[in-house]
Amino acid sequence: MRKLFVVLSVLGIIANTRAYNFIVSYPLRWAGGEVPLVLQLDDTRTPDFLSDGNTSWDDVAMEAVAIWNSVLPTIQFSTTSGPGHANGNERNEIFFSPSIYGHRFGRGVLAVTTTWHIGDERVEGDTIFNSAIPWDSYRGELQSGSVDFRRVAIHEFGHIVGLGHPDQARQVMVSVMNSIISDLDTIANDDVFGAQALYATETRHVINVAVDPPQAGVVLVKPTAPDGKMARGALAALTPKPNRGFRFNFWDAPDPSSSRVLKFRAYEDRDITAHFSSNTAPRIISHPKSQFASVEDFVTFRIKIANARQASFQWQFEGTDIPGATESALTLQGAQHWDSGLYSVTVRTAKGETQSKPARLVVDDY
Amino acid sequence: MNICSVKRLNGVVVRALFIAAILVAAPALNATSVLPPDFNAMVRQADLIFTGRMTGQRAEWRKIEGQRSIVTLVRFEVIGVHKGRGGPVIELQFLGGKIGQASLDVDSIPKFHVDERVVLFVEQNGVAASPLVGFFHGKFNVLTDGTVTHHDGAPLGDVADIGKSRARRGSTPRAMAHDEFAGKIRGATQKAN
Repeated sequence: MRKLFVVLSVLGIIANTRAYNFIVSYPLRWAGGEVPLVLQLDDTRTPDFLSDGNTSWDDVAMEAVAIWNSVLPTIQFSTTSGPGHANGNERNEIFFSPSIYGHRFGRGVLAVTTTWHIGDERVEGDTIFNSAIPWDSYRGELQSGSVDFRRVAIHEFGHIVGLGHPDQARQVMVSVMNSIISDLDTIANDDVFGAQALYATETRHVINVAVDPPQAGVVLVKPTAPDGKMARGALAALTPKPNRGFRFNFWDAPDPSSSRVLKFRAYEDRDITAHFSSNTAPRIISHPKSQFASVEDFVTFRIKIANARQASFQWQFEGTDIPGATESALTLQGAQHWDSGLYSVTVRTAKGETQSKPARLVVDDY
Repeated sequence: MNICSVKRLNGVVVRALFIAAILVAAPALNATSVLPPDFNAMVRQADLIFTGRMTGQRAEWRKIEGQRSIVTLVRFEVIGVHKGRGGPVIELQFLGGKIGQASLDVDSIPKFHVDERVVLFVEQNGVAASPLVGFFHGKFNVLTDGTVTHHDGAPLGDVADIGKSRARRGSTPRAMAHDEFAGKIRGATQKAN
């Protein structure tokens, strides 16, 4: 079969001199776009007249969110409200509590951020503020008698961004992310550099990618440029030349991507599988999402496509078709351990077919 | 006053003392998510203080109050006990860990590696997210040369520096040897008793 070699430009970043630290040894980040935070602070602690003039804990948290949003290039926090919180429910919930989902805070612990991820996919980040603490909100030096809620919120939301404690990585920097800080009440340069290293895009490389057949197929992208200049951990983006008649519609890269641009981190030990389809094939608006479940739970994976009429669906488990699973949603009634694994769906119309991103189901021991 | 109200009153007093302790500590120590205890408070709060060598760990799913969690059970071979009672092997439970493709990371939770030698100040093992006093402050590494470091890897020169940021620590000419640190712990324990 004839092979078409398409030249793709690759855009990546030049890393800043690193002083910041990440929450895990390999950078773990959100897919691009919106990261919704569910604020439940006023629901879990009575709003008060605070020293900075605020009368709502949620409003103070929104100030902390805005500070991070002002420096985040490819993701933005959004805020909503809503009742109920749970650990491992794939929602990012911010609230006061006397414990960390039943685990005691311990003496002197102000707040904790928990981060769930499935493989390389970040699925949840909750911040729990210790309700036993005498909170207030003020700027400047820490005051006796109360703890400034806003700077702790900025610190904890930095963990949701993906940053760790630089001082515990033996770095001596001015940073709101330090485990013990001075009277700093907002983000510092090092915090900005860290966030932008996680989410920025720059630099240019060119690599060749074979697409077979010419307008559809699967390619394995080697995450190293032919000139060898793409550094391990660098962010890269594959952008097809215009009017090539195909698009990316499936990839296993954890970074922000669209149907026209595939973005990924370059790792020496990891290939990126990119699926192409013709421009006329069904377009996926929302892919199935990875999720946790307990034994006997009902689990539903959903896909949303443009122009769903006339489309047919075939769900797969670990790459093998599931007999009878031909609706736009896949429901498992009474999940079991052996149901853990990767689920994906093929969408077909008369004009072509599209493969979804895989979503992982993790069934815990309960 | 009945027994219930006495217990409730005791709880109120304990909470008031706890909050008072935080208020006293906050302006002096300037921590973000954890208010670090000083050396004497650490010794006083710890149920168990020991030197050990990390020998292994395993992660388990847990469900507490209906909430899904992963915990990691870290095992230590005990080299010496400085306060409290401990057998030849001690297992500590930390919130967070990795099981298959699922991972739960908790900021500030201490991490360990096999053969790492540590001095640990332990309280509320099994019920707190971190069983160490001050979340991560209760962990001190013992290097191969026998000297001790703070949780952030900086050499421990003086127990008076414990709980302070690097910028606020005094400059000492040498790192403290493990035996000297153990002696200071035992001394503070006796003093507290």
